[in-house]
Amino acid sequence: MTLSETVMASLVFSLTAAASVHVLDLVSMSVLELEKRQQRSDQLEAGLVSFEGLLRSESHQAVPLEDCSQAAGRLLLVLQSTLPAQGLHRDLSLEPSGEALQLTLTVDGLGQTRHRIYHPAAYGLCPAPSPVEVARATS
Amino acid sequence: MAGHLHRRVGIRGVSPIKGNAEAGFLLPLASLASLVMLLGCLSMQSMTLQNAQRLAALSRLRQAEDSSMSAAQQLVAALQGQHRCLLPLALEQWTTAACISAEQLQALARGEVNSTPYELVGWRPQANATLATEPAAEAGAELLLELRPLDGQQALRSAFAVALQGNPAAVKDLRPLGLRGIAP
Repeated sequence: MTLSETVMASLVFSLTAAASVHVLDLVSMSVLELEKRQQRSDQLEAGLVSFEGLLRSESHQAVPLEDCSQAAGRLLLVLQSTLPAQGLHRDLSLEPSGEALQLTLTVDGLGQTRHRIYHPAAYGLCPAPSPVEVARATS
Repeated sequence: MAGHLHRRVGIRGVSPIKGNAEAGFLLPLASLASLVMLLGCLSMQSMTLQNAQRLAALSRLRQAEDSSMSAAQQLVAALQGQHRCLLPLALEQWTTAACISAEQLQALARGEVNSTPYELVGWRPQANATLATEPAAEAGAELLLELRPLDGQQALRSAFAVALQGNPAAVKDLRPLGLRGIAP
């Protein structure tokens, strides 16, 4: 065991140890960031599931109105009066046609958004169109 | 003679060959330890990258679920509104149904939502004899949709349960049943 060998061995070991500590630091930061992202993504999913439960429960209680636009407008009013979970941002509006709702859910610190369209007709809230309306729509 | 032998064997009685081996053990040991450390770090980093990829895939899947749900809502609303006569019929029977033309059927079965095209690939109503006689009787139908993303990703199939009620049948509820894998 010579002095030069000892110096070389300690140099190799200390350089690798420093590099490993740096990599481990990066890995632990990435793990923490991924965990946060996962939590926020799950929070977004939970918010969506909760909103759909609310929509379904409101739909079961409501009676069909004269047309889909009225049903969509009433659903919008009822659903807008409920608050989303903490940390969630909910944007609920009518589609340009006025017969469906647009939902956009976002959460702080996550670039991802959830966007869904809901039609009152899919929950039995729109009446059947009259034969005249059908003929007009299909002509 | 004895002194010469003592010098060759070494001060501590170690042979010259063993002494050379001892002299070179530190550098290989340090290199081996460094290699193990580096491999450990790299494997941890690759695990983290895999987790990041898994999270990105989950995010894409949830976006696809959003598009599927919106597409199902759009389709069921169209069925409930203008093509209610098709509700009790299986998709295979729609082409021969008198209440819809070929052009209307094509427009109904294909659409676009959130800039993602979709196609209706299955509509299977459950047979319920009481649906024709009792207004409050309930039946169900399975809706199968295929999303065809424009960004080169594989097409995904998703299924939905549609609750039907009364005669003529009307949609009462729509529930997602989940993704049914990659379209063939």
